[in-house]
Amino acid sequence: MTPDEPPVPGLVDQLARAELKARLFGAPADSTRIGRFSVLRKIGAGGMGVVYAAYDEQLDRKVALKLVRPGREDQGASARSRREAQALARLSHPNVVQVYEVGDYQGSVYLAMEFVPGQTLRAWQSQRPRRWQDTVAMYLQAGRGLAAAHARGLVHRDFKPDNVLVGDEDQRPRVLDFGLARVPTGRDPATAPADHLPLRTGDPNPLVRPNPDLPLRTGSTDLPDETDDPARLTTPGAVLGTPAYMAPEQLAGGEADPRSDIFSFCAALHEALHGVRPFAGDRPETLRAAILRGPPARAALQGPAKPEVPAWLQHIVDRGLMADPSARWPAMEPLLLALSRDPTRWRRRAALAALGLTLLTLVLLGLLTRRDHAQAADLALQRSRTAAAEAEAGRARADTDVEQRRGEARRLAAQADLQAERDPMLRLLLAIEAIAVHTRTGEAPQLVAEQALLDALDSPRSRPFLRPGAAVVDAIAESPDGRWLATGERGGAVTLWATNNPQRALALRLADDQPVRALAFSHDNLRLAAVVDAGAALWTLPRSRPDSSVPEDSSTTPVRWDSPGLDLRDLEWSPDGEALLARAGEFAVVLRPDTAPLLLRGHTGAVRRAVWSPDGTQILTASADGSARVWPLRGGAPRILQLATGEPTRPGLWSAEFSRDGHEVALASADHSAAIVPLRGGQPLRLRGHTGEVYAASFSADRSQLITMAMDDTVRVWERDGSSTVTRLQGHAELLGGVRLGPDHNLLLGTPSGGPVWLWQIGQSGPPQVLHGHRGSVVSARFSADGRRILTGSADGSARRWHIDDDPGLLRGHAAGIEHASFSPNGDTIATASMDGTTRLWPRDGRPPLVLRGHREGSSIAAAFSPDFGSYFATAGADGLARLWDPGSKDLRATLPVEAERGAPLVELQWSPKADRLALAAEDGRVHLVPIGISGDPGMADILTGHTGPVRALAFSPDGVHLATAGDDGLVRIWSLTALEQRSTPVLSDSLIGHTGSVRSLVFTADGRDLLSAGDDAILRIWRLPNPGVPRQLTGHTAAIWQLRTFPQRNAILSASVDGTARVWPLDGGPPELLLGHADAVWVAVPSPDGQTILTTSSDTSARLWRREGGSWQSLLLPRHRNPGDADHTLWLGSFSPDGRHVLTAGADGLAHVFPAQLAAQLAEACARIGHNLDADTWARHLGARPYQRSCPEQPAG
Amino acid sequence: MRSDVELLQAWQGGDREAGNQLVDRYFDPITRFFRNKVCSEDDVAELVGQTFLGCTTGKDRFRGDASVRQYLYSIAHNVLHKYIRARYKRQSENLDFASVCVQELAAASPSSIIAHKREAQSLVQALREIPVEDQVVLELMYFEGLSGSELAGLLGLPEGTIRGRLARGKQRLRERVALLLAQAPTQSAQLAAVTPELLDVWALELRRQQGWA
Repeated sequence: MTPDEPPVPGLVDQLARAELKARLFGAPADSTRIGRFSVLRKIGAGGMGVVYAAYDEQLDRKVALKLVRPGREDQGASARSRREAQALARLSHPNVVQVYEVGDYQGSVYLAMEFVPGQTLRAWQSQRPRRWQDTVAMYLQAGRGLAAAHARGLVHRDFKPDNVLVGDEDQRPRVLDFGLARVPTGRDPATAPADHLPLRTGDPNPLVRPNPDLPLRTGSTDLPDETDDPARLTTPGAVLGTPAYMAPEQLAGGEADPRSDIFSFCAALHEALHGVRPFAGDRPETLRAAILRGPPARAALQGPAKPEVPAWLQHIVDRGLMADPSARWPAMEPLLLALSRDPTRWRRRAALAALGLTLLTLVLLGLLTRRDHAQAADLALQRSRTAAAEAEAGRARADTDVEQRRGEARRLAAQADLQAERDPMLRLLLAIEAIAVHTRTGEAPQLVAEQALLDALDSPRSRPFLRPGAAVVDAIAESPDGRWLATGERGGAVTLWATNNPQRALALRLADDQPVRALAFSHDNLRLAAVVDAGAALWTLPRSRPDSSVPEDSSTTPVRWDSPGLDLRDLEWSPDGEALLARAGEFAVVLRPDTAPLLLRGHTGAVRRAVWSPDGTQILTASADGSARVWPLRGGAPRILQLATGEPTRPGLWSAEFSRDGHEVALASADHSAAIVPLRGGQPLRLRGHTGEVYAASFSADRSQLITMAMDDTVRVWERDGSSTVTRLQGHAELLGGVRLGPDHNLLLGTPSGGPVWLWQIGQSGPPQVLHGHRGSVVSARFSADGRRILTGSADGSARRWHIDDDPGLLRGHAAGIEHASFSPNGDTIATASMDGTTRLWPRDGRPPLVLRGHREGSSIAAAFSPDFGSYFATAGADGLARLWDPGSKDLRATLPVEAERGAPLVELQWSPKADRLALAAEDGRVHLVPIGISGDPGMADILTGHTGPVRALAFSPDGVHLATAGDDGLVRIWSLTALEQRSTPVLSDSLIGHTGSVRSLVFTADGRDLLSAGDDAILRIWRLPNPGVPRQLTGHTAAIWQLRTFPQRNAILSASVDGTARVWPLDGGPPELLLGHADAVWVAVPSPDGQTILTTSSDTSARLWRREGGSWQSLLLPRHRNPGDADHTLWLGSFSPDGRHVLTAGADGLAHVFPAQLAAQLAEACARIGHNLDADTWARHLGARPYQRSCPEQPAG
Repeated sequence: MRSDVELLQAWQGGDREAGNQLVDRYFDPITRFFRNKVCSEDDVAELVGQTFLGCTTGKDRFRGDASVRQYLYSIAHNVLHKYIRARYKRQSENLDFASVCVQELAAASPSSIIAHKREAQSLVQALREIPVEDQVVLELMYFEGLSGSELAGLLGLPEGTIRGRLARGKQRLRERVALLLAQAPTQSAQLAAVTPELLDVWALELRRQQGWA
């Protein structure tokens, strides 16, 4: 184009004119057209051009049309835009606005893009106050779009919240306006106009006074020199980027690369989280200076009216805001990964990720990461080791009997393993026998047998209730207070047990061939009713517990409420305990003492369900005749609820239920629909969606939702607007009577024909958890009143009570990962502190836990009992507060620091040996030393400053005279505390240099002569006191050492490392012993109080108990019981009880497990679960010619 | 072909087609009037719209005693003043358009006119940094090519006043342009001084390049 020809009037102007006319005169018949697009309206003027909403008539879709800015009609610009567009068109990603095509029209270049109805991310951010979690979720997605572009060699160069669109419908952010994308192609000779004037690198744009809000315009930017990088797009007069988000290298006029985008991304995220930009400056020079000073201090961002942003998140953002590009995240992927991770996992796995543990796993176990495979590998490893050791020992041993026993035990253990998923009771028995083979003769059992036992214990706890000679248990019930269990048999027997004593059965009724059809305890726990023999029999429950003085077959005479001629089904007590409700044929029947049964007549089809109203004044029935009726008890006609159904061939209603307040009724209909009917007027709400007969409908606890189950194998949770979420129940089709909903509206119970009970969780599709245990089919199953247990009655004549939610060995309650778990010094309480901000104290005697709400939700907490009998419990959180509690009550004794001002996050705490001082380590490098008076009053803290960076480890010397501190700066400092006696500050007595990288753990030997330190550099250092020079160095670990413990019984040190091993280092200088077996980082390695066992817990979700056998350390894998719906099982913590009989583990899933550590207790648990010994036949089948023995003590033969 | 007055009166009487033609005639110059005097590109369309709307709804109805062109520009002038008042940062009641410049407005941005050459660009930017009154007359002169007497007629001011503004404005403009150019050392020869003739040359190039004919 020659400069003398006037160019065609810009398209943009044409369109502006058309819009004006539309505004003045109304919309024209023909809209302005650009090729095959008809322009609808202007939607914005962006950096490089104007954007219109347009309609693509050929492809019949709405698009966004971007036109290059007016005045740009020169070949260079066209070529540039075209190249850019082509690069973008190749990129297809859900978080990037899709470019469909690029084209030419009357000399202007247009881009046709995906039309996204929505708002910018900036508008979204200010639309409502946003939680940081939601903000991060948005930026994570936008970041993925950026990452996708980077992967194709594109750089955005102008990332900001105005350049991200959030779709209205899907709330999905999409990055747009890659207006400055660089394309890795060859140079275009048309791009360097002759009149181009170069800009020296390092100069900010001089032509304008930049306003931080708006794009910079320049006369010319990049160096157009012939010798320059040909891949650069020279864009005279084009936008450089928005200064407020620009990376410093861009501000200086230099190149932008993906790390510049990272800077912009983090600047935008910072602003989104805090409401203010990270750097301020009205000119490029002042802006750059601010950036060079570094990201804003955390203290400046915090305050009472300011949003809470977790420290870990701030670190991620700050790293992206580094002035030096090489100090930032190297790429979007690791940044996004860090953003998406659970905070504590990120923190603890920082070492892990950096050290490439996957490589280690490959090296150790060759691609095996799943626990089962790992276990199998370990077993194989161990078995081969034992076999080798056996062979060795066998040659030396003359006693063939012992050999024989060892062989048998191994065989039994292997047989037990085979019973997994088949018969868990048999599995337990075989494992018990494998152990008993040796223990009977006073020998120690083999490791494989013990492991087989532990594996067998890894299943839901259940207790059997069995009456000798019992027939099929058709009916089962538990009293509301959980003290009593009753079974009703097909032969007519009704038996009562106290739930804590399955051995002693109280026969309430003897068999007489009259089947028991239903059982119900009254709400006041005083009576039991059973449907038997054309009526109901009622017993009064014993007042005292049966293990006190009630003789076994005291026949309590039942009271009878007869209903002659009626075949009663179901049984429900009225709320006031005066009447019973049952159904029979087309009637509902109300039974009362001393009166004839009241028949509710009216239905013309079988009554399928009959229930009391919550206030007991009405009865609701649902019938095959298609109607539900509400019967007032005091008399009066029933109210008929009929649903209009378009399917006259499908009979009736299957179920009806009242809402908790009695104002609404939920109906489940065979016509595939459900309905909510308001009883006080209003239209019924019909819920359609199921494709099979709906057989149950229940209100959720808060009445806001309805839960329905149908024959189409799904469960649906309905909102009041008719929408629903679906859970598919795999295996549902095999069920007999459908599925029951637990009282917490979360779990579903089903009984397939001829088999065990199945358990699903709402919201989780997939295979059910199967409860194995009965030796015959389960014919009756229900939830306990509080929903925490399941009761099953089986054809094998027994009932079982399953602890789904109230396993005393499972401490459930925290809503987030547990960071601290320990026994109190006297062993009667367990304390857990969780990232949900609460600490829970669990008494070991079964009382409910105490919840201490002392820290902010999301805050990491360090905690410890005071070493003197545990009279105090201290917690310190990432919220900067430390609190002192009285463990016996929920009382908060004190809050530290004594001044109200909140400080840096607290990372660690330690009690002095005499419990007279607390040391608190903070993230800002300071250590607070707080004296604690006798009555628990804190005094003024001494603050030890001397570290740069967070302090991670604290240790008092055994005599309490010194405190050692260490942290991220790699220095170990020893402070003398004697000055405290004279009321002056402690003095730094030593600084020990040697570590490179964070120091994670410090420990003094028991005699106080040595201080041991270890951390990220994987070298254990021993410093001899009082004047340590060069430390002794113990090498061996290949990755960060996370924890050190003294191992006094072996005069050694125990270390746990991220490299997946633990090591025992003899202090006298012998070679270290390796504990090899975990597949991932080992966080904890502690010795038992008697020194015979070591407990380790690992990121591979397992905990192991180690014993020294045959010259090496062998381990047993501890069982973990998994409930449906439990998520991440990474274990972080482990410890022994003070008496060494139990181990405690806890981790990311918020659950803490207590498990017997010693064999005797494990055997007892196993025997209790089985409840009986094998009979002779079963014994013969599995154990062959061995003489029949009873494996468990004092059990009746089954 | 109807005269401007005929079109305007017809339009004010309800003839849409007349309005259409009138817009066609004056859209470009009115757009140019606002182009360099606003904070963002969107504002241009808005103010242009307000100006044309003002034709039919304005209180100062066209009385036929001046040209339509003058009428339109006077409406545009008022629209501009209102816009500036709304956006002036220091919120004073008496804005002196003889001293306030566009660049001082809240959320002021660099010009949305993009020139090819640095000199032309600095001209454009400098225009925003001189008082609005001066900017109005200078831009009409540079961008529309109007003479002093035409300007006087257009703005309804004595020719002497116009010449005074022009002289003062040019002086200030030269100083601003020189300052802007001086902030960036260039590789070509340093310009000794910014003469009025140079300004004219650059303005002409700008007009050609922007298609303002």
